[in-house]
Amino acid sequence: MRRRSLLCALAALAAAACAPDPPCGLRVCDIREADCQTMAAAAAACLRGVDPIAVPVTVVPQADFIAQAAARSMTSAQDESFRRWNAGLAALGLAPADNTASADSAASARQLGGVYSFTDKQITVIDGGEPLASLGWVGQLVHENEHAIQDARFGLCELYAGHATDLDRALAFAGMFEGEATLVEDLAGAGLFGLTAGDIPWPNVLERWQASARDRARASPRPVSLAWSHFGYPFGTGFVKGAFDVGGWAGADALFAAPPGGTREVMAGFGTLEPTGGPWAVDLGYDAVPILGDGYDYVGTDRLGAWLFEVFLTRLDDYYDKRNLPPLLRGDTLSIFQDRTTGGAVAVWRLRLSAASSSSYAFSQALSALPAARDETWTDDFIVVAASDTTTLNAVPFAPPYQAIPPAPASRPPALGANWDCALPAR
Amino acid sequence: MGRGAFILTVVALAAPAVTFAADAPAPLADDAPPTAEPAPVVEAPSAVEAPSVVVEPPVAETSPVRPPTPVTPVAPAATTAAPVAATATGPPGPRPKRETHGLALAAGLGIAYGFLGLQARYDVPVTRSVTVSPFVASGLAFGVLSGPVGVSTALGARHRFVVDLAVAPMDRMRFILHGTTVTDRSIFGPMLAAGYEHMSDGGWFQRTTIELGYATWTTAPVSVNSYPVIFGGLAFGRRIW
Repeated sequence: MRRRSLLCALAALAAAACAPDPPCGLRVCDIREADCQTMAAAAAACLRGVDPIAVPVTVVPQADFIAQAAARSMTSAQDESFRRWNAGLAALGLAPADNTASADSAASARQLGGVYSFTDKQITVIDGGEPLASLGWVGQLVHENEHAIQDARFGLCELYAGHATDLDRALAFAGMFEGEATLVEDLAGAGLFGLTAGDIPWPNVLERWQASARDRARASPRPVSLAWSHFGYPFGTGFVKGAFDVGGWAGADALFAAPPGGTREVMAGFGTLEPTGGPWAVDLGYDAVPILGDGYDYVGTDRLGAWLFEVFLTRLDDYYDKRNLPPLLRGDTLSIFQDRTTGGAVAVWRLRLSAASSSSYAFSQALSALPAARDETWTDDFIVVAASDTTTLNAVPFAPPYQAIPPAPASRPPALGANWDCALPAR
Repeated sequence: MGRGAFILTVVALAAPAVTFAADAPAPLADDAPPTAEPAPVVEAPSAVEAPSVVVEPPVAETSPVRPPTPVTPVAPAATTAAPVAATATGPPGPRPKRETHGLALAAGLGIAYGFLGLQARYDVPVTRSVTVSPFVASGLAFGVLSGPVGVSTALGARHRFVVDLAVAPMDRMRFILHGTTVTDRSIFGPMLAAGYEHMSDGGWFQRTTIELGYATWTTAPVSVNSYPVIFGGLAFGRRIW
C-alpha cells in the first residue's frame, strides 16, 4: 500500500513533466542562426496558413540603430517643416518645444525591437544586448516575417500610400497591419509555452495593454511622434483579434482590402457600428482650415483623430470628459501657421463631434492648462486655438472664415517608424 | 515591426527575480545564484537529553546470609566472593524509532519541501548508523503534484549527518503577454543538500540543510537557460509509524 502511494506520486510527477510540442515547428533558438531564421519564417507562414516568404535578416546593435536613426539626413526644407510643425504641436502640449527631427527619430528607434523594411524587403533585428535565443526574440522574428508575408500578399507600401492620407488614417492603417503581425507573434509565443489561443484571456490582456498604452501616451513628451507605438500595437491587435474571431484569417485578410478609416473606428473595436449610423470619419470640407490673413504663413493641415484627441485631453488636468469626447469625434483638422510678426506658431484644431456631450465652458476651463490657448465654437464644432505665446495668441483673429484644405508647402516629415520607409502622399 | 510582446519571467522564489525575455535578459548559468535566505541557525543538539525509555537495574534487597555451620572442618575455600545479584533483568524497552522502518512526516522550508510544505519519507535503516529514506514533498509554491521527489541518506544515530538528493521544482517561469501574466510553469532541476538531523528515540526530528539546486527544465516546451539556486532547508517532523 505504501509503495503504491509512492509510485502514484512518482507517476504524477512524470506526467507533469510532459510538455506538448509547439505548433508549426516552433522552437526557441538563436535568431542570428540561419536555420532559426528559416524556422521563424516557416512558422509565421504556417500559423497564418500561407506560403512562407524568405527575406534576409540582419542583426544590428541597438546603439548603432539609434545613432543611425538620429543621423538620418533631412533636407533643409524638411528640417524647417519639422520645426514649424513641432512648434504647433508644442503649443498644444503634444511635443517638446525644443524637439528636433533627430531626437524624434532616436526616440522612435528606441521603441523598436525589429523592423521589416517595406522598401528594402529585409528584416532588421535590433539587438539590445539581451540573449537572442529566447521565446521573446523568436516571437519578434515571427512578427517581422509576418510583415514580409503581408507585404508579399498585399503590397503594403501601395496600400499605405492609398490609405494613410492623414495621420489618423495612418495610425489606423498601422494598427491594422501591426495588429495582425502581433496576433501571429502572440500565437507563436503561446505555442512555444504550450498554450493555444484559447488559453489566453484576451479581454484582460488587451484591456491591460491598452490602459498601459494610454498611460504611456499621457506621460510621453512625444505622444504624436510615438503614436504609432502607443496606439498601433495594443489597439490594432484588439481590432484584428476581433476580425479574426468573426471570420478567422479570412476576416483578417479582409481588413487589408478595407482598412479602418481612423483611430476612432479601431478604438471602438471590430464590428462596432458608428453610434449615429453614419461614417466613422467625415471630411470637414470647406470648414477645415481657417483663413488667418496675410500676417501668417500656412504650414499645413493634418487630421489627428480620436486617439490623439484623447491623449490631448488626458494631458489637461482635471478634465472630466476626457474619455467620453474622443469616441464622438467624427472629424477634425489641425492647421498650423506661423505668425510673421512674432515668429510664433499658431495651431487651430477644429473638432467635429457627433453629439454634444460636454459644455464649452468645461472645455474652455480645461484649455487653461495650456500656456496660450483659447476655445471657440462654430456651429457644433469645438475649435482649439493655441499659440507659442500669449502675444501670438492674442493676435489671432476671432472667428475667422474657413476654407477647404489648401495644398501645403511641405508635409511634416514623419518620425522614423511612422512611415516604414514608404513614399507617402503629401499631407 | 514590433517590440518584444511577451515576456517570460522567472521569479526565483529564493532570491531576486530573474527575468528573461525579448526585452529582459535570460538567467545565465553563470549568474550569481539567487541568494539564499539567511541560512537557518543550526540548533545545537542539547548536550544531555533524557532518554525516553529508561531501563535501570533493580537494586537487590537481599539480607545477609549466615554461612552454614560447618559440620566438618573443611579447608578454607578459595577467596573468591561471588557477586550477589550484580545485575537484574527487567522488561526490554522498545527500540528507538530511528532504528526501524517507518513513515515520517515533516513540515519544512526549503527546496526539498517545495519551499514551504510537507514531506513524507520512508526511513529504511540499512545498518545501525545508515538510514536511507526515499521521500516526496508537496509545497505551497509549486502545487501538490510538483514534487520534489528524492532520497535522503542519514549517517549516524541520534545525531546524523544527512545528504539529500532530489528532483525538485525550484523556480517559476511565467508567460506574460503584454503585461498580463497568462500562466506559469514550474522549473525543475536536480538538488543536492547536506546538513544535520537530530532524531529522538521517539521519532521526533528536526533537521537543517544547505541546498544547492540547478534549475534546468520546465513543463513548457520552451527551454530553460539553466542556473543554480542555493537555499537553506529547515524542517521538523516525526516518525508516525
